[in-house]
Amino acid sequence: MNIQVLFFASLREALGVEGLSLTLVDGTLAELHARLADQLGDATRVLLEDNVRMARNQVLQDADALSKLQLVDGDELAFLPPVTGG
Amino acid sequence: MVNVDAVIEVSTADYDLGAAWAQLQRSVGAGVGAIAGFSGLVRATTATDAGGSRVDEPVKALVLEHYPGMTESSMAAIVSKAEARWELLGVHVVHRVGRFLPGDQIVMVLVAAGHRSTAFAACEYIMDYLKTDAVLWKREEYLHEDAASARWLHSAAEDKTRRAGWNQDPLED
Repeated sequence: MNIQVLFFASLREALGVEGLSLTLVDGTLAELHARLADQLGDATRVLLEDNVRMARNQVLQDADALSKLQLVDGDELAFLPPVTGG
Repeated sequence: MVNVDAVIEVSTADYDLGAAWAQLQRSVGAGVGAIAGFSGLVRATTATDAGGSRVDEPVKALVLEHYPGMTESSMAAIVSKAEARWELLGVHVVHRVGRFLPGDQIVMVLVAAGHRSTAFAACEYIMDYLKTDAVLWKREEYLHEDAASARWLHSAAEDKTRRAGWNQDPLED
């Protein structure tokens, strides 16, 4: 399966890319992080920080959803640092 | 849910408060008794440093980044919560994205309602939630060369306290 990964704001700066396409086999969170580390190296540790949230197809995922995450072909996964609007 | 005339926009372009106000007034018709409005501007000095302390670092520019689609839906969710809480007749929210200079307009909230207490409260509520829940990121660029040249901001503790206050102490309409 092919998925699209997006990074915003401080995460985009830390990783040096806006996003990338990944080919996954299982579509689990663990596989996603492993493939990201393959592509982008140790810098991907910032994605594991407590205040980083993930959105799947623009819907925020809570801890329960993430623990059961099963990505499918065409999914868009975004890593979001803490927001600051207004 | 009441049928509220809500307009929610993410835009690089500036907004015209007078024109938006007049348009909202026209769209809500004769039942309206009050329109409350807020316009947020880029401050010339930063409010807090990376540790959350108060500082007065001169700001050169403010960059607002968004996630197209998700930013709009996060703003719509905030307006929906306000509509569920108060009887509103119309809402117009504009959040600008891009790079701005001190004094530039960046966020507008207009709320039309039957009475002023409702309009004031809903306007403040929407603004408080925009600060903490809207999918937007702010990056300040600083004037002084000895300071870090730029920094991504996090929601201030004060903003989170303000938002939490809406759940602990519901206001009467």
